[in-house]
Amino acid sequence: MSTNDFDNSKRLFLKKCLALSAGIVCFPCRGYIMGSGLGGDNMLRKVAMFQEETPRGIMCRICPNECVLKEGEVSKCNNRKVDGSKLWTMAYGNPCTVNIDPVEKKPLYHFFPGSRAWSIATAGCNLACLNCQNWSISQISPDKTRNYNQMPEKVVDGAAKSSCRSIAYTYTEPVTFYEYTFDTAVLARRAGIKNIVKSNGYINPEPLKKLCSVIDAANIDLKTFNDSTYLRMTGGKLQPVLDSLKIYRDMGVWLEITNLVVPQWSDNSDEIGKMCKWLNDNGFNNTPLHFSRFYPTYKLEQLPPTPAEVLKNAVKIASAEGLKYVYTGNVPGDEVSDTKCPLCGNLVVARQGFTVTANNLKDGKCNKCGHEISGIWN
Amino acid sequence: MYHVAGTCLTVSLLYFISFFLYRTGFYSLALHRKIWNSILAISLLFVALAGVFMALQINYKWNITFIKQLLKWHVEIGVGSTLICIFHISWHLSYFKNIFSSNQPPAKTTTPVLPKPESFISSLWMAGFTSTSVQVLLVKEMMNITGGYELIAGVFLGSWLITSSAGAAIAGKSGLNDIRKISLIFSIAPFVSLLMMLLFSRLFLDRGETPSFLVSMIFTLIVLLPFCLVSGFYFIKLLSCARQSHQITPGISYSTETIGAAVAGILISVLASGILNNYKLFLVITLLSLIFTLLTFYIGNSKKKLLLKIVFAVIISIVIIFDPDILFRQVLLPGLKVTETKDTPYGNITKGSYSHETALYYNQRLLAYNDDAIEREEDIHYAMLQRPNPEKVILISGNLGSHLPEIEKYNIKEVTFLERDPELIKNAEKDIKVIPPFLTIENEDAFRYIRKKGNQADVILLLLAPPSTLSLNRFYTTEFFAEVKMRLSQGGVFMCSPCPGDDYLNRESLNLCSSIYSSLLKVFRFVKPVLGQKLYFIASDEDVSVSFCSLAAKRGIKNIYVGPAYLADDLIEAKSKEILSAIIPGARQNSEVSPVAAFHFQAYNLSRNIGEKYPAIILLILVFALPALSVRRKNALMYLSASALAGFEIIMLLTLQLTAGNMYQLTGLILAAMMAGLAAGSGSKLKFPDRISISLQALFLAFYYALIGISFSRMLEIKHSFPMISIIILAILLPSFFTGHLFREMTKSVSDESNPSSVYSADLAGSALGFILISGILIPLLGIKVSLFFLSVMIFAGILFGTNRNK
Repeated sequence: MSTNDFDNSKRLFLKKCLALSAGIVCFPCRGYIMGSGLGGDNMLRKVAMFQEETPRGIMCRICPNECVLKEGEVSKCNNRKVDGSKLWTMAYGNPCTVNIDPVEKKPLYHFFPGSRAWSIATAGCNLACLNCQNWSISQISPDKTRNYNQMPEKVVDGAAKSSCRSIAYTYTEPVTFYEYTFDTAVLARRAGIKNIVKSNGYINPEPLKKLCSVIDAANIDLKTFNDSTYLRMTGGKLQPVLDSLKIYRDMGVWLEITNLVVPQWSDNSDEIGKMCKWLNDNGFNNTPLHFSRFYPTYKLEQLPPTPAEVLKNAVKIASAEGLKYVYTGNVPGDEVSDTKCPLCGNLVVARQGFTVTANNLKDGKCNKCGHEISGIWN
Repeated sequence: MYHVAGTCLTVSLLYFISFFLYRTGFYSLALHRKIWNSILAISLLFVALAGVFMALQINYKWNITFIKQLLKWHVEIGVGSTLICIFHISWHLSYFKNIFSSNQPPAKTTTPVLPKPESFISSLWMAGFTSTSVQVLLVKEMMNITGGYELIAGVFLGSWLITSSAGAAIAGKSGLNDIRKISLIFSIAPFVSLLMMLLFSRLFLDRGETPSFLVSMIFTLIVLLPFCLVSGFYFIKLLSCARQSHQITPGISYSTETIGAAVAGILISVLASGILNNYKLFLVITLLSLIFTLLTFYIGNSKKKLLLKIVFAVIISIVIIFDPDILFRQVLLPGLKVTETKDTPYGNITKGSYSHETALYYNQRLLAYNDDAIEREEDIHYAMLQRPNPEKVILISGNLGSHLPEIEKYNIKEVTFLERDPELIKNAEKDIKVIPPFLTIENEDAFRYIRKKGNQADVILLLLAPPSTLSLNRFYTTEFFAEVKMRLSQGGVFMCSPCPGDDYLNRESLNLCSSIYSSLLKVFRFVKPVLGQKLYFIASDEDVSVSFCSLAAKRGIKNIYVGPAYLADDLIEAKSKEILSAIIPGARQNSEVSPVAAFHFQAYNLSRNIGEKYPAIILLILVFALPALSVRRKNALMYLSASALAGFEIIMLLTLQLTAGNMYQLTGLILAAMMAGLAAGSGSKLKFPDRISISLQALFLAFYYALIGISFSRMLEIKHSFPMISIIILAILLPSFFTGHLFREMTKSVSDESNPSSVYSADLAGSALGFILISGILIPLLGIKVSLFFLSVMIFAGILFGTNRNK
């Protein structure tokens, strides 16, 4: 063997040793690096609604993303999968979060004030907001989260036993666990429990109309009124959300709207003005609008929180445009949270935080002038 | 689904048909190539245009109705052109082989333009000085932009060394020898890197966006490339010209450069400790480097020299008088109206306002904000409400201005506020205006303070950031909790918030919480989690209650947020129980020698961009592990011993923090000790090490690291600062001396010119691997002791594969 051959073989040996040591070092941390599925084996629980066969694969018609999936592929929202030429939902009866919340936390101020909502969510979302508070469950698939086993009957049972007035489909995006929401809502209605969705409104008209038949109240995030910002901040488009708002209202679902005011993204007064004008022009002047404060989170950690002044200014703009019920949220100690009669200015519902401290309504009307205050009060 | 296989097959088939036609004489090779060159050009143009149109649609909302088809063809043709590119490369294979081959014909050599011998020495010194200054100042800024955790720091240092190593490797093959020209490029390069950092942070990051780990890695590499490539190149050229023309050995050159680096390390430590702001210092140093180059290599006339000195003195004075840092911070924090900025040994404090509300940023992350009732109340009352009359409180860091009024709601007799950063203390003093008699402000590392004997406290509140770095991690260890317990009165309460307040704890945050919960439970009898804006742990030896609304009513404390208006006792209790049930029983404790929480926190940070996990891992391996394969066998020992020394340095810095506390100036002293050791080892004319063979020196290093590993637990038992600091300095001097000496030995006896460059490359690449491997993976995962033994193993591997070339 020549010296060169010897060198080469040693060099090869060294390379292999390096590879082996890397393997040994990496082995114990592969769990940390790779993560692992937690959800168990049988995730495909129910055939998905609103699917359509196309030449390119199965199309999910639930939301405007309209994912076209081939065998084995998973949708953008991370919880719909094609198996055996059918689209299945992986998010059915397996919520990863179950909490009881005051209904004001959704926020819903005109819907059974002071009541509690049994709140559930499965993993997955059809948008990818840079400021998502719940990114640890919204940007992941249900097979990667620790889940409860709560089929619709159990959810309704849990809500009833906890004396919750309603069930809220919230935290992530109920549109992506549509079937679970729908079936649970049907059972809840039968049991006299109300249904609330806290949603981004990014849903196609047909499934939304069907959902509205079993939903009592909705709080929809109208994240910004600029289509380009919508796309950059969330990955979605504005128009489908505006269409959804109209459908919710037309289908008789009690609707409240939240606008999270993100500094430098969605705090432009002109844009807020345009949004409020659109709401007023399209018959949403009786719909409560909540301007919520942003706090640095997820990928937008280098922004300041929304100044209270900006929120108050937004309230002024909205009121000037003709919206009757405008609130601010997430600013303890400095919130605009009381409901006043738009006719006589009487304080009809006083709130401190999530607690109702005074209720001057009589059969949903102002006890001073008798003007009807929009909402579902009792 | 795209037709990858179909497209590849079709293109291959067409190519081989064309090839067959040429081979059979149907047409010439030239025509065959012309056809495929044309196809390649057209297809690449189409792919590029389709990409541009898609970008336009996304960015500017162009309504392109056929965008989906465009995307489809963009990909399909992209696949096809990839294959054509491969064919194209195969025509020119010999050209590409030669680029990277060591046997390539020598590059066109320019005639060396050589300065005087003394200029060589001063240039080497200046190169070390400028490089280290730029490195220290840029690392601070990059950490601010990218999130500031250990792995990022490792990536930065690793990228620095790898790109410098690439520059050194290129220098070995390059024929450019005009030291004048290279020196000028070297002096301008820091400005280019700085400009790129600012430009990229605005162009590629959205407003307020923290980049993902993958983006941070790419960002770091791109920003460092211009400066580090030139810096590595420049050093090797100086070194080889010094050897050729003035018989200055590479060891001496290395030693001179290292002395420059050590001086820079010490000077920056002093100047950056509140005297000069980062960008001001950066500009001053780079301007000095530029004037040095101009005076040394370009200006001969003494009148012109004087004029130049005056011009630069004026420019530097302007930079010093007018604070350029405000402008730079304004660029980095768009939207915020920056009013004040100050760099301290521990970080950058920037004050600004947005829509008339003041925000205080620490290292570009929000530290305090007007009107943040949730955080200020949660930070204080969850713990303070636990006992009927908490009288003595220790606050570890946090925003005193907003926390003190909350503490004052109780009948307090003594409050001690601990903060290591003097500027934050000044800021707190400004906020509270009049210091009440019960308040003591201590500018001291909390670790040291708690260890000292002193008055016992009823409540200790740890309001530091989560354990995102090894330095912060020590406040969340079993050992620290035990010290805290010693300072608590009977039934005293301790509270910390090590985890983010996510409603759902993902796998990574659960690991993090579990390790800290496990450590707390080892020390305290009762530990309860509370989910608020952050996840709090309340610990005590007496029962802990989470019924805050009842407690607030009972104690007569009126709050905005921590009270019945926003919270409900039954719901908090339910959530606390839910978290407890999710916590992994018997999870590994977070301890000084095994800082697992820091590792879990980094994993948590990475989990934010789950889709980028695999690309990030692949890039990490490509950048840091693959250079190992390009290291020549004879340099394996240099590579591995440099790697071990870099790892050892990290361990010693951590040991200093664990024993004596985090003292910025001492950190500089340890770095200087290491540089001094390297300089002495590589440049000294001591005879005794020369008599010892390289293998024996390496063997000594291997045993030395193992010995430190064996005695490490004993080292941590030393409670007094002075002996500990002395031991650490001595401990770092010895291996750095021998590692430096290895460099000298390996560069002095070999005749080929590329030798110093390859040894230097191996040295830098090894250091890069050492930083990232030890700080990012081994210490958090296996603990310090095992990591020390691993250093020994690395040296043994070096001896085994790198020292038997005459066999």
